[in-house]
Amino acid sequence: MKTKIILCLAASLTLTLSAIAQTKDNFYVKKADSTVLQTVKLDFAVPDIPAFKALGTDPSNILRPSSLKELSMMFSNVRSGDKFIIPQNLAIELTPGLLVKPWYTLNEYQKNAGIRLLTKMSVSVGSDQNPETGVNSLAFGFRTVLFDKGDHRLDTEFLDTAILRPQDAYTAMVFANRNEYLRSNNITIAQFAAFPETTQDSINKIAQELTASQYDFDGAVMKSLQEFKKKNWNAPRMDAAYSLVMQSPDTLLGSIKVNKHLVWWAWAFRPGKNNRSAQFVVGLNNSLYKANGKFFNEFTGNFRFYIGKNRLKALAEAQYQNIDHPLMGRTETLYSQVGIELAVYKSVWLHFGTGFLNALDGTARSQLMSNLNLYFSFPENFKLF
Amino acid sequence: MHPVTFKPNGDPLKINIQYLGAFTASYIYTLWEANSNAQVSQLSGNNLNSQDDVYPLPCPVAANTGRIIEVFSTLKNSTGASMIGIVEVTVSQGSTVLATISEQETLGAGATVINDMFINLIQ
Repeated sequence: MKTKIILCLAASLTLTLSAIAQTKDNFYVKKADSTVLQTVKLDFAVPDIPAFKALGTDPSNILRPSSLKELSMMFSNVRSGDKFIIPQNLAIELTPGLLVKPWYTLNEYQKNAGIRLLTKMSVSVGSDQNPETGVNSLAFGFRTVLFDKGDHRLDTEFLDTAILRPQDAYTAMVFANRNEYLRSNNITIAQFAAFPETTQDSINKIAQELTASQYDFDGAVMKSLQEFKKKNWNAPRMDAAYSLVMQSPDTLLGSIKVNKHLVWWAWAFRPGKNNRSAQFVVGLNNSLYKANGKFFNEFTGNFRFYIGKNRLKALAEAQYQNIDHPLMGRTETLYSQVGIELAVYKSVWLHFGTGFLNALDGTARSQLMSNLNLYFSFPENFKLF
Repeated sequence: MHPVTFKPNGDPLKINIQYLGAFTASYIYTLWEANSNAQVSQLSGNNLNSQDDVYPLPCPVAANTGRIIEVFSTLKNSTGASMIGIVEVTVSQGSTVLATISEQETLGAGATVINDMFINLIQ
């Protein structure tokens, strides 16, 4: 209930602040990707869904399948007559590694980086139509986590003490409660084993609910995971993403052409192996976009230092950017800033930064720039009613 | 219940319990006496180390006729994304694999799911 109230307030605040944002261009309300809030690299994260980021479209505003069945139905609408067309409203995000049957054990997942890379890879596809120009865009994106030392499943000691030992005790309790249920209802194990699976499941569910009233296993694991995240917020991690945008003046796939390539890369690491209060983050973002029949480049490189705790951090940052304009040629800037990031609530974050922007060719004077950003996201299980 | 046929005069029987997927699993393996609620043996384990989840069945081999193998597991997905989990039990006689039985579960984000597998040993 408390969560709902806070999120409703955040939504109301969004409307209010959106009005402010129209008059002041240094104050923004942003809906964040889930990974942004989980890993808390505000302004810095490799996008969760690169295809949508590349289109500049909020996927919640466009058609989005929620199951593979819906997905296949959507793919059936890509033909018009005998020609393939660009669907006007399409947004798909898939993690193939989570959809196919696993072929690896937990031990293999821990030891094999290739398995982790594959299981954390996501694919996104999105399309959009510009209502003013009528230009149709189609984007494909790939994202993966190259490594993540903050993945608790790689920490054998944590798994043993915080999850598996409690899980062993929990399993024994559910099993004992199930056997007690069978005994009190004069059901032999041979009879139980011959029951339809749905009946077996119902009885095991009763045993599981009885056990939950005796021992909150899920709650204990959640608490341990929160502690783990607190200790490992600055664990080394590297993410990468790529997106390709294609555009067509009409809806026909035959006239579509590559318009933009985007690459993101971010690497976060600790100043020392046992450090729990600071973090360095390096981020690179490059886009190659087409204008007037030629490709132009836009590059941004950031280096940021954080100090503090996961939910309250001070930061110092340097950002280099160069942009090739079709008419103005190349501009190069260096922006240096200090700021803070503060978790107002678990899915609502404030980011404040202030610093100087310098044009490196000396053509413009240094500018003092400040920004205040409010990031929020709705939890997956959020329901108003 | 999955029936598995074995040779009463053949080599000793053994089972191997495996979990496929990056989740934690804890289990109780019980060998139930034929037509009875008596337990021949009961052992427990988890998937922290998959090398120690192999269990020989009692000898003489013929005494296992009609017995029921139960592998009662809890599967815990401690991540924020749903995934597929597979419980796989292989029954072997000597070096011959008699059967590999697998059951699939959908593990929602943070969910704890029970899987209860029964194997009936028949001649």
